[in-house]
Order: sequence, then structure tokens, then C-alpha cells
Amino acid sequence: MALTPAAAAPQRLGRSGDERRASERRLVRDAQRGSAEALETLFRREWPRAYRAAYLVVHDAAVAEDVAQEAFLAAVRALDRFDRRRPFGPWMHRIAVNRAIDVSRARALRREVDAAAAAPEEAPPDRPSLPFSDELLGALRELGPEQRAIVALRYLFEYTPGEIARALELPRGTVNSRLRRALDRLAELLPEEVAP
Amino acid sequence: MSAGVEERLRSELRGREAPDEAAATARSWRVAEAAFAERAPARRRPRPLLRVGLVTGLLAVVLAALLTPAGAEVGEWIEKRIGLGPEETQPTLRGFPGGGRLLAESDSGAWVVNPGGGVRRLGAYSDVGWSPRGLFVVGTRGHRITAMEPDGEPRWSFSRPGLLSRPAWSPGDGFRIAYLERRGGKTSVRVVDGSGGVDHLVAGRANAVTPAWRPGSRYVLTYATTSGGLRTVDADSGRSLWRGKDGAPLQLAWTRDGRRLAALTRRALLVYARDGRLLRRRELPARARGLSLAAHPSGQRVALSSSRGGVSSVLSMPLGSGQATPMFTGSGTLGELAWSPSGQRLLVGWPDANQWLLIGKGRPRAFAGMSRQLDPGATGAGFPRIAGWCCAARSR
Repeated sequence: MALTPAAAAPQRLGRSGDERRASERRLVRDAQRGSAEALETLFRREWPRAYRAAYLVVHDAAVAEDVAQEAFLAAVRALDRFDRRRPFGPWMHRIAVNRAIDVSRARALRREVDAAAAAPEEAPPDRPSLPFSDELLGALRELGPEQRAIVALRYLFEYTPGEIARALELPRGTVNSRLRRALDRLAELLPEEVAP
Repeated sequence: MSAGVEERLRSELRGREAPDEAAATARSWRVAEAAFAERAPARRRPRPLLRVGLVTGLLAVVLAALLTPAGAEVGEWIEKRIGLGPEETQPTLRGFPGGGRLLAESDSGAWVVNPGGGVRRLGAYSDVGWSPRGLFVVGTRGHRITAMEPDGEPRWSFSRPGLLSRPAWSPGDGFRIAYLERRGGKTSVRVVDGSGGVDHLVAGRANAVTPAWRPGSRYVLTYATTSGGLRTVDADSGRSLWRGKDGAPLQLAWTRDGRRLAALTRRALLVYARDGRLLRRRELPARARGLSLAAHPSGQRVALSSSRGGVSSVLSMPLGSGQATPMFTGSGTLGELAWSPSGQRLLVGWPDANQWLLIGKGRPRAFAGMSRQLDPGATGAGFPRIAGWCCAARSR
């Protein structure tokens, strides 16, 4: 089955949260019954955001790809025992972001050999896209991995501080203080935009 | 001032992409799709009445086995319950025996279990294994294979276009790592040098069984063929040394002295000499299905588990002549086996009981609640697979 290029469809679909949850439950149920189409739809909904969040934490596309991929593979492996009453997306995002933090902490590659060039991948489909700005990425790089994760969860996924606290297993006050420090630091690093 | 920053973060993070996102998405979907296709169909949980029936029927099956010649080898420790009781069970890994470190993995990632029960997460790796002296760990993650320190710090990483699995570090100097690559619907055997630099194809088609290195001065590798046998090759030249066509192996293990190869099939244990002669074929009891195999450090025997009618057994089976010795019998299916480095204890995964069993002298004891022990985030990571028990910790 080929992956269609609309992989990064917007997450706000104009439907109510309840409708979206019901749709997600149906997809998880169908995937549990073996439907690859249902799995692909879940993948298209959730994987790109998990990848972006991981990238914002680790600042390395290859590592972010591994992290997001592993998060989704963990979801595939746990599919049979997944409780459909739980939301699938946040569960996968939580795995991805926590793994990205772990990788960021441990990452001190002394040597990395990448043989991917020896066997080129298929050319990606052309798709107009606007990447994260270097300025923003440079500013985020100045934060620690936990702070980057909190920023990603807050402004990419729009999690509340309480939801972030549960996802990262941190006290809510810690999340608030780290978020505040991160925003203050980013405000120092990012020049204020001048209206044209 | 931070209101402006928040607005910028919202608009930029939600409206833009990470680098290489389209290609990464396409690659990852291929990996996810392959993993989904290979996933075993969902097993229905037995209903309570069915479970009662299973446990009741278990005794009859075991007793019948004990009364038949084929079952004469079964029956040292017979557990009719799903799991050992509280008197033989520890709720944590505290007191995990010393003399080496254990590798385990679940959906929460790969873990090292240290003597005493302390654990350390290595990261999101699968199919982890020790280097020959336990100084490093190798593991896979999608299309990447990584060698790391036992604290999880990567030493090198190597990627291929296909889905990589089942790495096996060569014994002795540790200068080679064999692994499988699944790509385009077929599985191949490849070898990369121990520093992650040079990689080459050894066999274009193979079955999904971890290749086994023969200890010795040359790099000799045995793998499972797609024709339902096994093949032993010189891994550097690719030259075929011998083939076995006596059954499709589920698991392969060379003894530490390189003199014997044990191959577990669904129905039998096959014992080969170094030159490929089939020395013994030991049939499992009628209707039993082979599950797992672990070569004893002495090179004289193996532990193997098999399952029949909802009951699983572990036997210690000599590679030469002699009778098999029963070690444990319990309900449900048993998982992987691992001998302690000294060979005095055998660790057995028991997923249906959510326990790891430690079998040595005296009654077995169990570590309970294993699906929680290596899943501090309670992500539902499942039962941890035992991936290897190696070597007393030592400095380089």
C-alpha cells in the first residue's frame, strides 16, 4: 500500500472533539481487526506531529524519524491490547516525546556511519511546505530537552499544562515554571517582529 | 513580551514542517506497514470459565503425560496455577542474582537488569544482544542498528533501507555483527564489522531466525534458509561450508567450544557436529511444539521449552547420549530462556503468569508483575522478553 502525500493533514479538522474521538475509536477497532487502511489513517493523522515534536526536542531529523517511528511501532505492537477508551494520539505523542527526551540526554554519538546513501530511498513526493525557521530552531536549541518538550507539547499539540504534567510525569508546578523560563529565554533570543 | 513569543510559537510550530518530513513519513509508513503485516493476529483472552477449564484440564494432561513413555521426561516442578504462588514470588526484581547482567526488552524499550535488581533503560531498541564480553550492547530500531555502551550511550549507528532485526555479535574478538534485513518482501543476512564501518551481504534469502556464530578463529555463521533447513558459511567470503536439511529451525545455538550446533525445530532438537554431520535428532513428546532453546555454558547440554495442550515444559537435554531432565512444567506458554553466565541458574519468561522464573537448586522462584517492572511510565509496554544474560561485569 502506498502512502498518499497528504501525510501532514491539519489536525483541526473542523469536527467536534467527540466526533474525532469516535472516529479514532473506530479506526483503532478496525486496525485491531487487521485493517491496514485504518492503520494508515491513524498513521497519517498522528505520525507527522509526533515527528515534528521529536524533531523539536532532538534537533536531528534522522533521530527524530527513529523516535517517531519507534513510537508508532510500539503502538502497532500494543494494538491488540490497546484500550479503545483511551485516546490514541496523545498516547503515541507521550511515548514519542519521552523517548526524544531520553535520546537527547543520552546522545553523544562518537561515531555515526550512515549507509543510507549507498541505497537511495525512493524520491519523496513533491509537496510545497514551509519548514521551521532557522531562527526559531536556533532559539529552541538553547533550551534543555525537557523545556523543548514542554514547548512542543504546549504549542504544537496545544496540551494544557495539566496534560503536559501527566504526559511527562512531572508536577504541574514544575511544568508551569519550566514553560515560563522557556518563554522568557525565547523572548530574549527571538527578535521582535516589526510590522511591515 | 512573551505573548508575542507564544503567538509566534503557535503559528510557526503548527503551520510548518520539520526537515525531510515527507520522505521521513513515507519511509516510516513502509516500516510500520511491514510491522503491521508481520504482527500476529490478536489472541482472544480466555473467558473465566474457559480458564477454569484450562486449569482443571491441565492436571489431566500433565498426569497423562507422566504416565506415558513420552511424558516420562516431564514433571519435576508442576505448576497447575497460572504462575507461582506468593511464597515463591517476589514483587520486585530486588535480589536478582549476580554474576552477570541481563538484557530484556519490551515495548518500553531495552533494559539492562543489574545484579541486585537495579535496572537501566537503554532506549527504544529491539532485538538487543550482548557483545562477547558484555562490554557493549547491539540493538535495532527500524532501519537502524546501533552499538552502545551498557548505559545506553551509542557508540555507532548504521542504517539500511530495509527493516533490520536479529543482530548477533560474533564471539571472540567481536569484530563482526550479523543481522537480518527485510526489504521488498524478502529477508537477507548481512554482516557489518564491529566498528560499524564495512557491511556486506552474506545471503540473499533467509528465514527470520537469529543467525548463530560458530566460536573459533574464523567468522563462520549459520542461518536458517527459506527452504526449511540451515546453512553454514564463511561470513567473510560467503563460501558455503555445509547445509542441513533436517527441519526448519526456530532457533540456533552453537556451543561455547564451537563443537556442536543445536537447532530447535517445531518437533525436534537437532544436534550437528562442527562439520555438519547430524549427530542426533531428539524428538519432542508427541504433539509438543518447540518454543525456545538456550545452550548451557558447559557446551554439554541445552535447556529447551516446549508446549503441548496448554501446558509448557522446560527440559535439560544433553547434546550427547543420556536422558533429558525435567526442570519445570507450567500452564500456558513459556517465553525465552537464558542461562546465567555460571550455568547454575536458568531464567525463564512466563508471559501468561506475568513472571520471570529462576530455576536452580531447590524450588523455582519467580519475579512477579514483570510487565510493570520495566515500564515505569505505565505505558502498557507488555511483558518483557529475556534477551541475554552475560558475563560478570568487568572493566575493559
